[in-house]
Formats: sequence, structure tokens, C-alpha cells
Amino acid sequence: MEVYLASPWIPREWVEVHGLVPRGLFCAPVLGTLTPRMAEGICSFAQQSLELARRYCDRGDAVVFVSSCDQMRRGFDLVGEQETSNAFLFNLPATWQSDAAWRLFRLEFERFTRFLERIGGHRQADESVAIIIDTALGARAKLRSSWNKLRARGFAECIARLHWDGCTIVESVSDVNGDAGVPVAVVGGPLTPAQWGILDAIESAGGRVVLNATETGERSLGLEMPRPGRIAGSIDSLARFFFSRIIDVWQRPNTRLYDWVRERIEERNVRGIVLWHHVGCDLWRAEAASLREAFGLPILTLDSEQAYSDHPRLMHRIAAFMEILR
Amino acid sequence: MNQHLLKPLNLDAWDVRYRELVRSGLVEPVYGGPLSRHVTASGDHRLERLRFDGSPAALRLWNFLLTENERLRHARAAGDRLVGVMKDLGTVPVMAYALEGLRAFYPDGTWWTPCLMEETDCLLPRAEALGIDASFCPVRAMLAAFKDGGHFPLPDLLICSAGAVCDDFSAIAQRLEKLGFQILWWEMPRRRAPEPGEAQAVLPGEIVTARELVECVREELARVGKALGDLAGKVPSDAIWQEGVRAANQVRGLLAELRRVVYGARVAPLPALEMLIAEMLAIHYCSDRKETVAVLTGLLGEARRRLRIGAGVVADDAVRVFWVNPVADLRAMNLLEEWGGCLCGSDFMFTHALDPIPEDIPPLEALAQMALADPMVGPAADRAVRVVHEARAAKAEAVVVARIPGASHSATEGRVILEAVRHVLGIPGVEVEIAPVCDAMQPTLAGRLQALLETARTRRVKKP
Amino acid sequence: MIFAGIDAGSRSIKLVLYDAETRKVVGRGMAEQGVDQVRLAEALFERTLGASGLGPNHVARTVATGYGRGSVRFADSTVTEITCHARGVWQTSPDARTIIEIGGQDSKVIWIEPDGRVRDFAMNDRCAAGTGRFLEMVATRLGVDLCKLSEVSRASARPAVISSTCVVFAETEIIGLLASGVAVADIAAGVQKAIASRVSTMAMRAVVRPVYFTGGVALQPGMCRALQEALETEVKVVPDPQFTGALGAALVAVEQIS
Repeated sequence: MEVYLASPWIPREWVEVHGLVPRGLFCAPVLGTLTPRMAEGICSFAQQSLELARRYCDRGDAVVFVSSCDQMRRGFDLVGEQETSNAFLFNLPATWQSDAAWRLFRLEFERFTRFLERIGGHRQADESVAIIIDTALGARAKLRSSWNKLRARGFAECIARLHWDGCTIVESVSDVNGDAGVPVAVVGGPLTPAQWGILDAIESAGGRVVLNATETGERSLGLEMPRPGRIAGSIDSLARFFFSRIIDVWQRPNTRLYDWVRERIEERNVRGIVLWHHVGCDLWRAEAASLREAFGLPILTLDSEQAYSDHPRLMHRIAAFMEILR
Repeated sequence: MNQHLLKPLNLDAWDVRYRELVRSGLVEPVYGGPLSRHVTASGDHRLERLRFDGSPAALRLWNFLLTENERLRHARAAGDRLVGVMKDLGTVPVMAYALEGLRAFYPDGTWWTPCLMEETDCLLPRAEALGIDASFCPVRAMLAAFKDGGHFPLPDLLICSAGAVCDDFSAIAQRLEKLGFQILWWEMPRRRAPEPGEAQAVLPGEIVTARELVECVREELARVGKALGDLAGKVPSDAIWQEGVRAANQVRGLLAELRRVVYGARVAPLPALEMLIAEMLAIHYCSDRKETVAVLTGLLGEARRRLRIGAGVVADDAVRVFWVNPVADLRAMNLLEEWGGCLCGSDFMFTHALDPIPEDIPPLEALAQMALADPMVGPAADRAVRVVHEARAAKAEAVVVARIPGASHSATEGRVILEAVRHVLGIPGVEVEIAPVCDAMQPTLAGRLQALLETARTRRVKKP
Repeated sequence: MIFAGIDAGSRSIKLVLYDAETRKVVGRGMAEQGVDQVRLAEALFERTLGASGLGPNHVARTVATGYGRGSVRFADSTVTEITCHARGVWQTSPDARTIIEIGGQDSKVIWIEPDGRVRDFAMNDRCAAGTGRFLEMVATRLGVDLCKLSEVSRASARPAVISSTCVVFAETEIIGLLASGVAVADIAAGVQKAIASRVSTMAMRAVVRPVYFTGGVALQPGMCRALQEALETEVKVVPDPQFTGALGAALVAVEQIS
């Protein structure tokens, strides 16, 4: 059975540990191409995710939603609790500094475990668990170190493959132009495969995306964490590990996100930030002014419902932004 | 029964009435006075468009509401510490008021100030300049209020719940923190039904959830309580919290009785707008718990008096409407009645703050249960169940779900609620977006609300 | 006795004169809506009466409906277009159970009982993407006459995806599609599909057959086709759909007297 995960913060390794096939719903190749029944006020990413979730549930697969944005949380109300018991809502705590936040995550992790067992998963032997976790850590580390070896689209593709089917082949693309191009960071919500044209547009206009901090980019690999000390038989240390690697805008306070972005902006000499979000996403939209104040860099805010028909508008803005940066 | 229909008053008519009342010996609290002074003194121009109930009890209610900022300033000058509570509606203030020397208020109550001030204060454009534009809900007004300090005094402690809360509010609060206002965040988990084998807890409102979630919230409230205690210079105890719970229940009991008397009447004795304000007071006592009791007692007395003499504020064939969600423009509540409807019940997003807090269990446990019973914290279906239950009990003929512009949760839950209403009760319902100043949209609003009222009336009479 | 129903819409004013004795429509007229709504309604009233050989004293009662009903000063009463469209459709098509009305400003789904009473209704949010106004904008952008839009869309092989829920943003999308070389037929078909999709969302999967389509937009066969596809059921167009509201208002006027 395939288990579709609506967020990179749902531990895919744990799904694998239970002998099931994890797939990042947020990296589904068809995302961005669907035309769900439109309802005003719901972000297009959430709508498409819900449409996909319905389809997957209908054919007997499982879908794991997250509580971290109210569109997806309420989407679960529409899909999960009515349609099938193969849907699960993982309550990711927004706070992260208190014992209660950790306790909540721990409870959810155990509940998630029971869900995986209920849909037919069986936890593998400790030795296999250790191999799966180590392999996953290695894959993420390898991808993290590849940010400057690939064009932005290539890097996004590799990350998407990791989340979609666990593949970690990193192909060097020989025509990466070294250090050419104005270093730019793309920060924001999920950038689906249909929207990677934005990365191409930045590079065509003389930029170089040195930081893809979108929910589906480098940031989705999580905080670089030391390997949990005891993997075998230790739910606690694993849960703590998965909890601690989350870096996202919905955390309260979201200082971890800013610290992580700042570190990379400084080390990669970023000169401009593209803030990307779907129309209807308040969490990211509200950060434009804070990002400007925090980093003192020019910011281009791009929002879209679907990339294809918005293409000319977005390209025009990117070209203008790159002109300013150059 | 003779129906004596009481007409609402505009501000000018209230000035005349006020003079009459004063001549006949009206006794007012220290914050009393003519309503029109709030326009001249504070620029509350929206008051000029509203219609008010003409009773001394309503006058006291409005003056109480519109003098909150002054009250907070006096409290600060007298040495009280101020706590700004955000997002949770009705839980943390119970704790704050249990500690002497603390006053709690909701800075996000400023969200309806633009409606009252009809943009003279430019809070919304100023919020946009601070980075939060019109795609967010009117709560964004509080950003400007914090920055300029011209409304409420800046609180000594800011407390905000996070997690199962609406995104736009959460984003605005995070922006506030980035503007330099430190916030104590506490986690509100998303409420869910217990799984088989999981220990259960039954919350007020008969909602069943997992026991562990109550534990989690209780732990968080203990942390919040410690912060409140530090601010007040006291070590909180269960006895202190219990006293707060009892005092809160006194207010809740009064409000429950007021709602029963008004919504249960065949002809409403008090208008929809004053009932909305009365409910909103209850969640944080409008910064004065004792005075809230006096105000609600006055309203209840007036409602009962009117029922005895057969006086009401709507025609006796008014369509009974159950209203869901508060309105960004208070004028909408007047319009409902002007167009032939009457409020027979409400869910203004904080029904959990109206229910009595259990007094037979440890107070933090009781408060945790209350907080988790918040209709916004769980599935929209739970909220729909309660709406259906209450609308049925109120003999509602129609349901209105008001959408708050920019509020991210509004997009989906209205649909869930209306589907449940249609399916279970078979009565018509409509979802309407009500802008902070709805004058320009009045024809659109009329098209929907009047159509709803017409449909409800048609359903009363079978065609020959 | 003659009864008048006037539907003061956002784009046009429609008037119907109904003879309650013969149960026939004895006159009707239409005018474009404008700034001086009061005068325009009065002028239409006089003109239509004159063309029917009648005078104001022949009219027993007038009911106004529509967005601008408040500006019809000579009306004896006003009723919303929900009630009037339901009444008007039921008069011509008594088997109707679900009515879809797409006007200039609003789109509605109305569920009616077998006896013609409105059971429930749903309306679009205030955004106009899902209304006649959207189609007008599209026709202008595509350089096509509004009445020819359906013919154009029939040639579509692959309707374009129009995702915006707002007319202003949708216009931007259409400009983008044209710039990308997407065929005019595909854009027209895509717009019709988008409107139909919005309507079907409003209907919330609660369509009760038979379904009838009314309002000015119902004159577009392409819209009817798109609705059928979106609702997965047959959709019939009422006769003279742009006059249904006014007819319903006149019938309500009859009922108010009796």
C-alpha cells in the first residue's frame, strides 16, 4: 500500500520502517495540473492536494494530512473524516519550545504508528530500522551538499524524487555555470513540479538560485541533525529526532526558519529573495515585511493559483526583479 | 397579546431620549453619558449609521463597551498590570482575573473598531503599511493599534494560543512579535475523537475527545498560569483558579439566562445587535468583571420587563434566524431586523465561553476542557452538530453563516455547517460575506438575506 | 386585470405585462440598465404599456425584483429575484425542481418544491467570476460578440484551464493564455467550463432533477452544454430565459392581490 504524505514533516522513514511505501503528495507529478472544483478562499495547493487525496483514498491507498495550516486541517474535515478511515491527520505542534509541544508530538507519533499498523504496516526488525534511518539520513546529507552542483530545477527534481519514491540519485548537470548569475533565494510554500518554471525563469534572467527554501526544496530536507543515538527500539529518540528537524513558517515563534534561512543567506551571499506562495496562503504572505526587515534584501513576492496560465505575469515580474538585482 | 413594537433609535434620537432619561432621574455609572460623545470624542463615526435599543440598560451596555480603553488606562494608572490575550476566546481571562492586580483584554477586539470608527482612524490602511494587507481578516487592525499606542495601553504581557487556530490570525500575531512585541505562545492541539482503547474525556457541550489532549492543554495552562502569577507577584494555586472559575460562571450564568429569555421569546425583547455585544462582553468582561455582571443584570431585567408588558423589537411575524459567526460590520445585525428577521440563536465563534465551567474538578483541568471545547479547535462537523442542535431548539426557520473577509477558516466550515442544517433540519441557509463597512455591498447583502427571509416565510404557508 | 413585473438587473431592465384573466403575457420590453435607473425603469414601463395599447391605469399592481429593485419607485412592492425566478420558471416548466439562474451580477441555484415554493437556494460569493459579467469581459478580450461566444467555443478541442475565482485575475489569466498562443475557442470553452464548475460547487452535489436554466446567460447554448457536463445531468433552458424574473414578479403581483 502507498501512503501519501501531505507534508515533508511527516516522517517518511517511519512509513518505510513499517513496510509501506511513502510518497510525498506535495511532490506528486500531477500536482499543478488538476482542476478541482473551485471554491473561493481555499488555496489552490490545498484544493489540488485534497482532490488528489480523494482519488488516492478512493483507490485504497492512505493519505496523511497535517494540521499545520488550517486549509489542510479543514481539508481533512471535508475528505478524511467522511470518506475513508485510510486518512490520518497528524497534529504537528506549532510551538516547539515547551514540554507540552514535545509531548503532543510524541503522542501523535505513537498514534501515527498505530495508524500505520492498522492499514497493514508491520514494523521491521531493529536492524532493518537502523539501516532505513541511516540510509535516509545519508540521502538527505548527500542532497544537502548538492545544492551548488545542480541547476535549480535539477536540484528540485532530485529532492522531489527523494520525497516521491525515495530515490537519491544526484546527477551532476554539466552545464551548471559555476558561479555565474546573481545569487537568489526562493523562500516560501510548496513549489510543485508544474511551477518549477519559476526557477528556470530566475536563471534565464541572470539569477542563480542558491537557496531553494520552499516547502518542497532544500528546506524540506529538514534541519541537519546528528543521528539519533539509539535507533533500535527507541521510539522516544526517533520521535525527538523527527520533531527537531522541522523548520517551517507556521511554527510559533518561527525563529527557527529565520535562523536557518539567515545562515544560508550569509554563507551563499544571497542578494535577493523571491517569496513564493499560493494565493490564499496567509502564513507565507504575512512574512514579506518581516523577511525584508530581517535580511535587508530586495524581496519579490510571487503568488499564483496555477502556474501555467499565470506564466507570463510571473515571468515578467521575475525579469524585472533580476534587472534590479543586476 | 398586544404587541408593542419598540423602534430602534439612531444617534440623534438617542440624544433626545438621553435628555428625557436624565430629566426623569437616570442613574448612571461613572462611564455613563450620551452615546453621541463617542463620535465627537473618539471619532466613532460608524455609530452614526447604527440603530440602538432605547433602554437605559442598552445605554449602559454601549457606554461600557465604548469606554474600555479608558478603563484600561485608569487601571494601569492605578497600578494594575495589563494582560493582552489573543486567539483563545474566554479561557486565559478567567485566570487573569483570578489574580488581583491583573486585567485582561483582547487586543484583537480592535478588529471591529474600524466598523465603529468608519475608517477615520485608518487602522486598516496602517496595518497594510506594516505588511498585512486586505487579504487578511480585520483582526489586522490590532497591528496598527499596537504600533501607535493610541487605542488600548500596551499590555505588560501578551499571551497567544497557537496550533489549531486560524492561519490569518496566527500570521498577524507572528508579525506583531516581529514588530518587537514579545509573546508567550501556548499550544492548542487540534481536537479529535478518541481512538478505540484511548482514554476519553467528555468536554462541556458533550464533545468527547482524547484524555491526553486535555492533559496537554492543562499543562500549557499551568505554564500560562505561572506567567500570570509572576506578573501579579503571586504564586497561583488551585484555590485562586477556582475562585476565577466561580466568578466566570456567575457571568456565564447571567448571559445564559439572558439568551434563554431573549432567544426563547416568541417576539424578541432585545435587538440582535445588543445581544451580540452582550455575548462579546462575556469573554473577557470588557476589562471589568463586576461591571459586566451589573450590565448583564440590567439587560436581563429589561428583557423580562418587556416580556411582561408584551413589548418587543421585531414584528411578531419576524423570521427566526440562527446566526453563525460574528460580523465585521455591526450594521448587519440592524439590517437583519429591518428586513424582517430576528435573532433566535447564535454561534459567534465562542460558544465554549458561554458554557459553565465545571466546578467539581480541579480548575486547570476544567479550564483545559473548556479551551478544548472551542468550536474552532475541532472538526467543522462538531461545530455543525452544535449549530443544528441549537437551531432546532430555537425553532430557527433559517440559518445565516457570516463570512469574515480574509478569515482563512471561513472558506470551508460554512459549507459544512449549511450542509448539516439543510440535511438535518431541512431549513434554508445562506452564507454571506460581510465587509468591515458593508454600505456599498448592501444591495448584494440584501439580495441574499432578503431572499433567505422570503424563502423562510414562503415555507410557512402552503400554496393553495 | 393586468399585472406588471419588472426585473431591474445590473445589466438590463426587463418588464412583463401579465393578464391574470387570460393567463397570458400581453406585453414585454427590455432596456439597458444605466446610471439613471429610476428614469430608465419608468421609460420602459411607459413604452411597453404603449406598445401593448395599455395605460398605467390598466395595471392593477406592479412588483419589482432584481438588483436595482429599490430604484423602481412606481412598484407597489419588491421581492427578491430568488422568489421571482422560481415563480417564473415554475409557471412555464412546472416539473422543475432545480433552477440555475446566471445573471449579470449573480449566479444562483434554487431548489423548488413540486408546488413551486422555494425550498432553498445558494448564491455565488460576491466575486463575479461565475456570472454574465465574466462572459462579457471574456467576449471583449477575445474580440468576439457575446452572442457568438457559444459558436466559438464549440470549436474547442481542449478547453483552457481558468483557475482564478476573481474576474479581475481571470482577465489577467486570459491575457496570458492569448499571449501563449492558446486558441480563442479553447479559452472560450475554458471560461464556460469554469463558470459551470462554480455553479456545480454551489449546488453541492444536491441537484434534484429536472434542472432548468434561466437568466440572460441561458441564451448561450455553450453554457448549457458546460452545465450539463459539470452537473452530469440534462439541463433544459426555459423559454425566454431573460424574462423569467419579470414574469415571476408579475405572477407574485397576482398572488399578492388574491
